[in-house]
Amino acid sequence: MTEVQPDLPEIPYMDRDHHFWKVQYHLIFILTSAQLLGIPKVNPMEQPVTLLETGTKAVILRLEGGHWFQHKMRGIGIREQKTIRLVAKHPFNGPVVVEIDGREMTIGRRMAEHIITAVME
Amino acid sequence: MKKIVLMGNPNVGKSVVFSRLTGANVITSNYPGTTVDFSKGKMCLGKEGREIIDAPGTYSLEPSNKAEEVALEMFGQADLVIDVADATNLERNLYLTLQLLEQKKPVILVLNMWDEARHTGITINLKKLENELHIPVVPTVALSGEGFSDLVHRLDEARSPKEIEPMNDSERWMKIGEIIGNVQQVTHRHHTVWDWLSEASIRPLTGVPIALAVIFAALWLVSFIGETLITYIFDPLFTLYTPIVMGISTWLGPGFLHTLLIGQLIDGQIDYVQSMGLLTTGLYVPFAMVLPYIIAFYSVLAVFEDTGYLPRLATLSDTLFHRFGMHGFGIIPVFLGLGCNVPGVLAARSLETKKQRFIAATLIAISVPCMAKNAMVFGILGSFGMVYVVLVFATLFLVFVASGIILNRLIKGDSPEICLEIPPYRKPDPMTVLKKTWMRILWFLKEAIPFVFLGVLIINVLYAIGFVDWLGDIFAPVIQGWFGLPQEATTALLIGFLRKDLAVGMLLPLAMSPLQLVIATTLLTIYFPCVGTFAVMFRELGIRDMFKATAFMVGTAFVVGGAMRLVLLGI
Repeated sequence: MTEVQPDLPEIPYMDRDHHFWKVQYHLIFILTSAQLLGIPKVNPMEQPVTLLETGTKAVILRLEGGHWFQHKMRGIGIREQKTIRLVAKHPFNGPVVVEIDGREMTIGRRMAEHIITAVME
Repeated sequence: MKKIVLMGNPNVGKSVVFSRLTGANVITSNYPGTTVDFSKGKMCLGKEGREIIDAPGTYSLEPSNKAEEVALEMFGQADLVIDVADATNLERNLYLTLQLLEQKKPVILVLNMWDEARHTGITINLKKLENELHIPVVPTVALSGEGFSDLVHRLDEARSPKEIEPMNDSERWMKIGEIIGNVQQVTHRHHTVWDWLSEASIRPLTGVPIALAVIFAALWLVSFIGETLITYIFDPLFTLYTPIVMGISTWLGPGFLHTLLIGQLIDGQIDYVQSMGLLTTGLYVPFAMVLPYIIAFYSVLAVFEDTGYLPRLATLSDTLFHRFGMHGFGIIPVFLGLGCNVPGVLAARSLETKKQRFIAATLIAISVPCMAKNAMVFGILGSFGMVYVVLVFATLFLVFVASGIILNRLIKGDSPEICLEIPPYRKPDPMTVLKKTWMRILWFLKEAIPFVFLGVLIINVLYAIGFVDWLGDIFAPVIQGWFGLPQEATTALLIGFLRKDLAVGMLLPLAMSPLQLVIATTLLTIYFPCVGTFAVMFRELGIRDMFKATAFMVGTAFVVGGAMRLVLLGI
């Protein structure tokens, strides 16, 4: 008798990166519970990409800035929920180099300071 | 005729696709911002002719610099759009694709660099992608030509799908997430030695020494190739040519025609640099002194451009260039300006604000000597000793830095930060490098030869009518009194507007001391751009800013010339 494969539902795109979602759930949990307790909305896991250690990966939570800034960042591939890796940080407030989707990008320090991330464990 | 416009993100290979489709030659390389203007070409499809337009790259239909404005303008004229996307980076490229589709023009999607995507473990389901976007999708490898017959066959299938409605930013990204999830699969790839090199060359600690070594090696290579070409090819050719001109010289006998064609004989012999005849200096300067260095410079530059090193250099120099009111990308126009100021000034279009573009163009015109002039400085000053050549370049470097800092303070406006994609390192394709170098050499010959001839002609006419002495007398207080140069140098500065290389050559017969020559050649770069650069600056900056830039140049020449005289000549 041939074994019949059960018809598995297709895994939605966003669930593929399981680990990423685990982090997200933690974040949502921390954020909402903090808000319920009246604690100001500061998440210890959150930090701008400029404060990451060189070589670490993080998830982009949000882009803090005007419409134009957000538009420009998304246009070159820097978007919410993407995994970002800090490749290099140049001295004297120089630019930072990040990697997203295997592609490196150089962005100014001030712009990078407005990319808020959460480190992946 | 129907207009087909090539649109796409920067550095996806639109210009290579353009060359493939039209057979026309355009400059292509491996960094975003190579194309800053449109080029037009034709292709035949069946019996019909089609006009194809290559536009600069853009991330979206909202332009953020002048080059992107050009792209948008071209899009407005399109009857059909070939959207070129980078298959290795589909997700980001789809944003522009969706925007294009919302504009209701027929679109066909080209997934370029298909081979690279395969190598990096990216698989894209073409059928599914076609179903999602409702337009034909053609994979290509523009460098090798793979996929192009398919593209040409399917051009007419291009359509503007009714299914795609106008969306806002977040809706577009949602849609893209959906599409990518359905059509693309990425298998993890191990880091290669190229990745390692890529990171080493962009990190400050390792990157700076690498950059210095690379620049030093490039300069050495340029001078090595240039000298070799002169010694083994061009000088021997002119040695063969000498008896012919000498023959013409005796046949002509003395007279105006002799002066014009052969020029002055020095000790009864032809001196190719000093004689100033059309058939002597007019040929020797562009072919035997300048051309070898042009060949050397552009072949080295082509390799540089195609490896993808320039954006890394831009990253490393970003902090420094912010002091000059630009950001790191500003080093790319400067590099191109070292070949010829005209493409340098044009490349400044990729900078975002007017302030940045003004500073870039002015700095190039004032302190970046072009290869034609450099070749002459090497040829003439180098014979007195390398220290004098170094003196010229060191002064110009100081002028660059000082002018940059001053202009940054002086010019109002924004200096936004850098935002630059770093392309992966690629092995330069020998054919592309050769073709590009050849195109630039041809361009040099077409631009240079007429102006050198015109320059030689004007010099002879001016001498004949006594204008030179008259002009010298008028400018004597400045040239002689302030700069400490012989008053005849005025003519060289005048000719410098036509051709700076020829002008350097004109300084030789004036019997100046090497230090005077240093002052004169340095001033020749600073005081005013050549006619070609002047024209392109006028076009790019507008009349008011051009006037400002010119005033700044003349002022700087005055100050620097006086200072150099004080330091170098002592009085």
